[in-house]
Amino acid sequence: MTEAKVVERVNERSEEMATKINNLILYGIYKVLGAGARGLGNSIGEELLNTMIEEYGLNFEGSDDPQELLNRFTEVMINTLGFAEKGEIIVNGNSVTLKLDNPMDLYALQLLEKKGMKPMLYPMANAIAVAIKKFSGKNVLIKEIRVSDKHVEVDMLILG
Amino acid sequence: MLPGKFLGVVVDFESTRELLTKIKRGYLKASWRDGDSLKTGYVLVSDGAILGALVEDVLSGERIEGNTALQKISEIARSKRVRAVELYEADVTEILRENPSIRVENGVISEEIPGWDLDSLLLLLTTYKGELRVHNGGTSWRLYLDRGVVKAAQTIRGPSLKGNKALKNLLWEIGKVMKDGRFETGGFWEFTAEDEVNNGGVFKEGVELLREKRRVDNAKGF
Amino acid sequence: MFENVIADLLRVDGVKGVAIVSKDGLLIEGQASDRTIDVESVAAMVATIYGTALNVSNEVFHEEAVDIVTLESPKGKIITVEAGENAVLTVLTDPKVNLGLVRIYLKRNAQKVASML
Repeated sequence: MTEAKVVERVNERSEEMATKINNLILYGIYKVLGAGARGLGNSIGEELLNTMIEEYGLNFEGSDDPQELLNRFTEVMINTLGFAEKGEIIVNGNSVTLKLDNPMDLYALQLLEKKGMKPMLYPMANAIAVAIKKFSGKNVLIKEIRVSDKHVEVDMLILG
Repeated sequence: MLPGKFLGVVVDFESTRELLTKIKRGYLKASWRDGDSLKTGYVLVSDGAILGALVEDVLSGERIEGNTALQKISEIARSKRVRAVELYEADVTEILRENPSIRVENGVISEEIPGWDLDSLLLLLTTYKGELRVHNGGTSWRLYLDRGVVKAAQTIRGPSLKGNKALKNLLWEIGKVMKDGRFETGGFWEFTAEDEVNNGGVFKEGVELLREKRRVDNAKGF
Repeated sequence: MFENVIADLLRVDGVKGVAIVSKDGLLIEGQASDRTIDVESVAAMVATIYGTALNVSNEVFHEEAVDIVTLESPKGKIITVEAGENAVLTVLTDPKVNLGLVRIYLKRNAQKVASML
C-alpha cells in the first residue's frame, strides 16, 4: 500500500489560478443545481451586501439619490473588492443595468454558455437588488444576464 | 366574493372615474392592506353609474355595505394606496337582488384633482353628474354638475354666496384656483331653488379657454 | 400591487399563507393568516424548491418546465406554480385542504401576476 504523500506549498499562491479554481467550483455548483441555483440568488445577494457594508466600507448614509447610492456600490465592488476591471450601474426609469468588464466570474459563466446552459444567477446583481429594496422598499427582478468575450451585462427591472 | 367574469387588471390608472367607463355592467375589485389584515372593496357599475358597494375583511369576513362602503373605498382611492384594480363583467341587477344591503343611491367615488390639471378637470366635466367642490385658500365652492353644465352653486367657506353670484365669484377666482387650488368630487348635495344657476355652461367654456391660453403661452415659451 | 391576488387565495378554505416570489428568491409580496409563518424566509426556500424541480424535470423529461410543485407534510402543504418568466406564486395550506380548488385559484391568479410583472 502506497503511503499518503504530504505536499507543502513552496511557491506564492497564484491569484489567477485561485480565480480559475473558484470559477470551476462555481461552475460545478451551477451545473448540479441548474435552475435551482437561481433560487439562492436573493439569499446570496443579501449576505454579499451585508459583507460589503460591514467589512468593506460600503455606506448608504447621507444620500437619497438612487444613482449616487449605486455609484457607491460600484466603488466598493470595483476598487475595494477588485471584482472587475471596470463597472457601471445605470438607472433609467424602472430599468437598472449592471455592466462589468472582465469580472472575476466571467470564466464560469462562459463555461456554462459553452455547455448550452443559460446563466441565471448573478450574485452581484442580487446584491444590487437587495440594496435597492433596502433604500427604496421597491422589489427588483433580474431579467437577463448577457455574457460576451470580456463583459457581463445584467438587466434588472424595478417593480413599482 | 361576488360572481362575475374576469376581464382584466388595470395597473397605474389615473383616476377611478376612468375605470368606471371600462366596464358596461359589472364591478371593480380592489384590495388593500389594513394593519395586519387585507380588505377587498367591490364597486358595482352599470353604464358608468355606481349602483352598489361592498368592503370585506379577508381574514375576519366582516363586511361594510352600501354608502359606508363607498365612502371607505373613496378614502382609499384618494390615498392612492391601490395600484391594481380588477374588472369583472357581471349581472349587477342579480347581485343587487341577492344583496340588497350593498345598494347605493347617487354613488360617487370622491376624488381630488389638482387645480393645474385642466385636462383631468375637463374630462370630469364632460362625463360627471353630481357634486364638485372647489377649494382655494380661504374660499370653497360647491357646484352641482350635469355633464358639463353647472346646475347650482354656492360657497361653503369664505363669503356667503348662492346661485349665479357664487358661480360668478368662482369664475373671478378661477385663475388662482388653477394655480394653487383643487377640485374634489363626491358628496350628495340636494340643492334648492336659490342655489340654481342660469347660464351654467359658462364654467366649462371658461376652463376650455384657460387650457387654450396655457397651450399658447407654453408654445411661446419655446 | 398584488393585494387582490393575495386576498383571493387567502379566502380559500385551508389556505394559511400566500407569497409571490421572484425566481431569485426575493419576496415580492406575501401575507399569512397564521402569525407563526415567516413568509420572507419561506420565499427563499420556495424559489429553490421550484428551481430544483425545474432541474429535475430537465434531467428526467428533457424539458425545463413544471406545472405545479406540491410539498406535502403531515402538518400542511406548500403548493407552487409559475407566475410568468420571473416569479412563482405559492400557498401554504392545512393538510386537508381541497387541492383541486387551490389549484384552480392558483392557476387563475398566477396568470394575473404574470400579466402585471
